[in-house]
Order: sequence, then structure tokens, then C-alpha cells
Amino acid sequence: MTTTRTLTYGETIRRIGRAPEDSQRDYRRLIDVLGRPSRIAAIDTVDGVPPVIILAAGLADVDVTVAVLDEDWERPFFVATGATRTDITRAQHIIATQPLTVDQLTSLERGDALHPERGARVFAAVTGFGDAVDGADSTTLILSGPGNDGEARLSVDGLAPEFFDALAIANADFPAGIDLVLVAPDGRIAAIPRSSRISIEKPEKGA
Amino acid sequence: MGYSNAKGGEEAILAAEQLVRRGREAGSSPRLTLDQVTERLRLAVDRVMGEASLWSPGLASRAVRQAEGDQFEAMQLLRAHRSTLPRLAYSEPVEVAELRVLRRVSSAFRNPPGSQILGRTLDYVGRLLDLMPEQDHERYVAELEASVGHSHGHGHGHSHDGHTHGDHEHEHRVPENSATRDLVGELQAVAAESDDDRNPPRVMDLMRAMDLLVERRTGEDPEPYDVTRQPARPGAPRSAVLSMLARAETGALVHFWYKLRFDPRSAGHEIPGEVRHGWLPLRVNHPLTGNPVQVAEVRVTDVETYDDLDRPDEDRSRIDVGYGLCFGHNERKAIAMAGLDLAVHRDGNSSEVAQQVLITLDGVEANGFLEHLKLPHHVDFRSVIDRKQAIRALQTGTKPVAATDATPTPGNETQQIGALV
Repeated sequence: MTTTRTLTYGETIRRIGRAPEDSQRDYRRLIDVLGRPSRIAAIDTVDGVPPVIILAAGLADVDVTVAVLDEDWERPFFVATGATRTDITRAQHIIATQPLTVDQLTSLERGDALHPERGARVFAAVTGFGDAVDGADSTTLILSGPGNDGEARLSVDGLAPEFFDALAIANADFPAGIDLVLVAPDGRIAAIPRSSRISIEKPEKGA
Repeated sequence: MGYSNAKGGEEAILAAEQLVRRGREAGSSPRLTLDQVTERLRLAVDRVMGEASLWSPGLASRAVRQAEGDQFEAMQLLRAHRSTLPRLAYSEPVEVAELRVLRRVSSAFRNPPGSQILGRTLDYVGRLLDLMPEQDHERYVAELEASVGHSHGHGHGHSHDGHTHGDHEHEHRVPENSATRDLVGELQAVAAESDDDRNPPRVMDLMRAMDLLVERRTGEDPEPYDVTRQPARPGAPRSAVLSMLARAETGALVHFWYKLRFDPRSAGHEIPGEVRHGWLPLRVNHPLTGNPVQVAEVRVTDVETYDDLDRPDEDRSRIDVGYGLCFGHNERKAIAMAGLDLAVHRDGNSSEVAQQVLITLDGVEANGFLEHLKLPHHVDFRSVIDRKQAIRALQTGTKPVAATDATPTPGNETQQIGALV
């Protein structure tokens, strides 16, 4: 899931750096998937840099506290964005190129009813959205709530059902909670805002 | 949303948008270039930058052009755009003493150290509408150039690109006057130390040297309050008050200041020690070396204003100072701002004035609220009518007319309004 850095340090920083028009464009797409949980859109990819880093870099500046859970990308990310490096439990943005453990997810800032804006946003790399033919490593979520008329389904590859169980618990105290953005290696994105109710579709027996 | 509850609303909205766009882009005269806007409508551009709180003559010119000269609309466009831009760094504080002046006048002293530099000002120009026939303009410009000489760079001195800064504008200085020399003789000694007339000594330093100022410095250096991140509400520190004043709507600011001048407690008015217009450096710390580096210059108007302390609880032997600073050349704004800064301070930052400065002077808030009145209030208004009819029924002892009968349906609304008129 992770992309190892193959570029020079300077080139890496240059590619991570977002121009305002880049981040405005990606932001528009992100808002689109956040507003319609289960919708899949795509951002423009940059050679040699994981899309999850690119998307998160567009939303980071000197005012944003970030935790990058990837040693390879951490330093160039902070140099390129000027964001403030912060502990995972206090960061506004968490960038996970590898799946977060349930303990990590549970430890994130959720804010409270008076300060829901303090709730963390997680940018998580996934391997795909129901791409595997045999459905291996795929979890199908049933999402309901704002942005979906009734229920909608979203299949996510590379994150375990336990992860989403923990997310559902973390978001039980809406409007406090955690917003999750999922990014595939090819630049496709989907999102599960904290306002979505999540249940996991049980695989059919014998499947 | 919007007019969706009116019949045919969506098509009407799209048609209105088309009219705006066509009207703006069509027309029989050539389209305004951005250079024209920046150069010929420079004060409009300056004002928009100030109220939007974004220094960018290029973007502000676009906003002015797109808004067809509507200051509020232009400011709102620019402020909305500003909110989408990443914050790259925080600039380092600069001393306003560093200001490289294009204009500098003191109403307080006839011969302030560093002298008066009138610069490009309308202060002494008659307000006569120029009725010169259009075809005579070229000849007029030629005559003007000939009489002034090209070396003076007349008319090209001001600039928006940050490279030529109009240091060659006309200057007229008040000649030395021995009659006033005694009065400020002590101060002139300090002036003699500075021979750089683009960076004159500050009147405030001299006021301090004369030991006439109230000491407002506390030795503390708190981080400024960021009004774009947290709403500034009553009780907010002075940096919040100054920020809100700096981006206040100019007309609202002047009006509010003017209204205060009628306060029965205030005798006379404050007197600006300095009104300056010039360039200030913008420095950020280099991300790798950590040393401050100048990355740009911004043009600002800067005012310090003095007022006699005459209230019973004030130190009657001293003078207090207010400060105003805004982007671009906007002296009315900076002077009103300095006056209000002083007023808020004298009231201990706790009066109604302090509250109103924070919550009523913002252009987006005030104009936005006003503009929203044009959006549908059909339901609100229907309930008002219902209440009136219910009261009438109570008074006359008749049965109220059922709301559904009395209230027009969206389809025949125009007809009904026509009938009422």
C-alpha cells in the first residue's frame, strides 16, 4: 500500500507542494465525496507520491496540525506544507499510509458537542474500492445519514471490518467524531463523514 | 435553494446570471484591462484590498472589474477568494518606523522633524468637476509633461507592481519657519540626526521625548488575535479591535467615527500627529536558515492621532494616542480608525463603542445581512399577515379570514401584489 520514495529529497518536496489552484480543485472533489458518502471521485495523481499524501498536502498549511504515520514521507510532507508536526492524539489531520490500528483510531481527537470542529480528519490509504474480483480483503459498508437517500453501499479494500466498527463507535457522539477520507493508489477517493451511520454488510454464507 | 419555492425559479435564476455575465462582458467600449483598473482606479483597488484584508493589486483589480465597480461586491469576491488560499508562513513584525514614505503630513506640528511631505494629495485641490472636452485630453497631457519635465516621471510614479514606488512624485515642503522653531526646538534636534527624508523620525518618539504621552507600553508582546480564525467578540484584545477596524467597511467606519464626535463628553476632536502613506517591508523567516528575509513590500496608510485627556478620571497632564493602519492609500479610513482605537481605549475597552467596533463595521456582515432581505421571506411574511388578521378579528369580533384564502399561492403572487399596489 505504501509507496517508497524513489525521488531525490528536493524533487519529492517540489512534487508534494500544492499550488492554490491544485488544492482548490482537489478540495472541491473532496467536498463532493464528503457530501455524498459512498460516491467515488478521483484526484489528479503525481508521479512518485502516494495520492493520500497529495490530497492531505493540499489541505495542510502553517495553521494545520498534522500527524504523518509514515517515516518515509513525514519529513518531506512537513517541509513542503509548513504544517505543524503533532502527536496523533492531538493532530487535526492524520495521514495513514498503512491501516490505523483500532487503538490508534480510538485515540484520535473527536472534539465535543460545543467544539465539533476539533474532531480529527483521517486521510487513510486503501488498496481499492471493491476492486478485487473475489472480494478478498474487502469490506462492504452500508451508509445512511445526510447525503444518502436511504442506504448506500461502499466497498473498501485494505481496511478490516474491526476498523469500521471502531469508527462507528467513535462517531456515536455526533457532532463530535472523526471524518474519514479514503484514498486509493490510483487517486480515487471516497469519504465517510462523522454524520454517516455505518453498518457492515455480512458476507453471504459460503461466499 | 434560493427561489426554488417560486414557480419557474430556477430558469429565472439562470437567466439573471446570464444577464449579469452578458452585461459585464458585452458593451460598445473596449474591455477594461487590469492595468487600467490598477492605474486609473487605484484608490478603488486600494480600498478593496483594505476591506478584503488581502494585499494583491492584481486580484483586487480583477474583483473591481468583475463587480463593475461595486466596492462591496469586489471586496466580498476578494475576501472569499482569500479564504481559499493556503497560509504559507507568518510574517515577522515590522516597526512602522521603517515606512518609506510617499506622503507624510502632521496636523499637530507645523514643522515636524523630517518635514512635511505632501505627496499626491487632493487636500489643497479645488473640488471642481473637470469638464475638459475629451478630445483636448491628449494636448493637455503633452502640456503637462512639458511643464513638469520627464525626469520627474509625472503620472507614472505610483505603481502597483512593487518595483517603482513613486518616489518621484511632486513634493512641496513647508519652508522652515523660525516662529514655530522654539515650540518644537527640542524635537528638531532629534530630526537633525536623520537626513533621510523618505524615512523621517516619528512624531510619537518626539512626543515621548517631551514626556507628554501617556505610557501605554506594558512590556508585554502578546501574539496578535487572528480575527479570521476566531470571531472577535466584546472583550477581545486591542489587536482584535485594530484588525477589525483595518478591514472595516470604510463608509461605515467614517460614519461611526463621525457619530462619536457628537458625544457630549467629547470637546473638540483628536489631531493627527502623522498621516503617512508609503511602503512597508514584508519579511518572513527563511524556512531553512530561520533568518528574516524580505519577500515583498506592501503599501499602507498609517496614522497616529492625539487627543487631549480631559475626563475626570484621566491624567489631565498628558496626551493619549490612537493608531490606524490599513492597506493602500485610504487616509479617511486610517484617520477614523486611529480615532476609534483611541475612543475604545479611553472607554477601557468595555463600552458600547468597543462592542460596536467589533460587531457592526464589517462589510461582509452588514451588507450580507442586508442583501439577504431580498431572498424569499414568504413564510415569515405570511405569518406576520396571519397575526395581523388574527388581532383584527379579535378587535372586531369577526371570524379571522383563513390564511389559505387570504394568501396568494406562488402562481398568482404577482397578480395579488399588483392588486395591492
